[in-house]
Amino acid sequence: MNVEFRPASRYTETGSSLILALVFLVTIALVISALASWTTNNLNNTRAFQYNTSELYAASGATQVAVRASRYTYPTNTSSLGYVCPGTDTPQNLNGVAIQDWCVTTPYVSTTVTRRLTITACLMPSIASSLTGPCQVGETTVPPVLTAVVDFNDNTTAVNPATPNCTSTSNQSTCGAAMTVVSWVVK
Amino acid sequence: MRTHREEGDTLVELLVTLTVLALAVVSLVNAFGAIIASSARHRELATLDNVLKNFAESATYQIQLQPNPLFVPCATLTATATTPQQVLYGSQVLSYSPPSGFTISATTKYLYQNSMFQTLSSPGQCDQSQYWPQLITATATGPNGASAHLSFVVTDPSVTETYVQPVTTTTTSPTTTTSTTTTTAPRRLHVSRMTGARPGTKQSWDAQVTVYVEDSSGVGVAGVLVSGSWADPISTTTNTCTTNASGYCSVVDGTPGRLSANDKSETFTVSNLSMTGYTYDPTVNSPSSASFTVAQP
Repeated sequence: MNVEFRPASRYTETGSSLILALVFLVTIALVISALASWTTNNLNNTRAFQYNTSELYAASGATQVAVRASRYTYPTNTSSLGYVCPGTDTPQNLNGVAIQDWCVTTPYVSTTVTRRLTITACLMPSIASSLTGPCQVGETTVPPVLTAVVDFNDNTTAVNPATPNCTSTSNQSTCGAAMTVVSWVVK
Repeated sequence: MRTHREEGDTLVELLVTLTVLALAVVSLVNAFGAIIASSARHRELATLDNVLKNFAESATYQIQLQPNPLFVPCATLTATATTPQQVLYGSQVLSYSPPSGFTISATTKYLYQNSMFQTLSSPGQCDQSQYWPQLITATATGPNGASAHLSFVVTDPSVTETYVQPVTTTTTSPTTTTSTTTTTAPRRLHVSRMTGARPGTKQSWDAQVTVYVEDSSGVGVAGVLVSGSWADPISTTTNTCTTNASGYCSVVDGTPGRLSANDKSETFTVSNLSMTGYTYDPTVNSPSSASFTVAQP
């Protein structure tokens, strides 16, 4: 009987299935990771959009409050630097976002625009902080969210436009007889 | 001499392969399941965001921006259980319905003394004579139970109010107390324009006068009862009319063809404008006399 002895191969296939299995597992893991990352990114984008919406409506709401308060209130500060708007003396907390408005009043733009109010809604770090300058909290600059320009005519039809009311605290009973929103710009 | 082995895989290798494949398939199925679930969640969140923004924009326009805004002091928002759902602002229906499967609810706060938003049941209550801004918080709920909130502010810039002026009263004691009186001027109406028509011929004609009514912001007001009188009244003249959606209405002097060549002109004079929530302010009428004369053809 002839017995054939095969010489031992120098390179056997023993263990190749383990290598293949590892490669397969790594590939699957990469695919799953990519899908999970893609989904997470989408969810984060949605949350970011929702936060931006909340921020925008909060700024718009606080600015409306400031406009209304300024319309019927004699501006005690008409310096070019400006002041914290009435109505947002403490930041308004809307949609979980703290907003405070900074006002600059320009008096007597024309006979029909007796006050021009420029309002900047600023995103505050918390409702405990307060503006010290145009979107400034101390030395820190906070981001502006919205800027609005509103014209007021404090005259009444029976009053000579050259002598408008609302020029001092003693004759402000007709402050804000007319109002025009000139611009409303979201940053 | 053969150089390649012809032995099959061992049982152990086969088992390892099967196990690895099973693990991979289970992982993939779980991953795809989670991704499908999160995609549905993502879609619902995005839709909720759109529902809330659409509602906020629609409500803001109707309550605050349209020519005749719905703004009512101290109004509350109520969502009906009807299908499609409706949202009532006070007693007025907002023309907005959420998509099928989604619901909207809303609460209202008011801005007290230009300071902080308070609930309507807060001490001091909401003063209905004041047009305080309102903070509306809308909550949208999706078909799978997810919900989102959005707050926005509405006010009524068409209303001119008198200044909230502090009044200082000195009592017999040396201390000074300060109280605040608040008054709100109701919205005012005036005649902004009058025009005439004279259909017919010189021998047989009649006079018609159209009255335009605006509020203090210059916007035409619908539903205003215009009252007045003709200089030459008879039983068939109309002395009152109600303004249409554009803010105007017409009165006629009798039946068509009543006037003859002997009637050189006819004059109608407005005596009053009336509508709930408004007062007539004749000082700003145009023409100031609130009268219009129609000349013979």
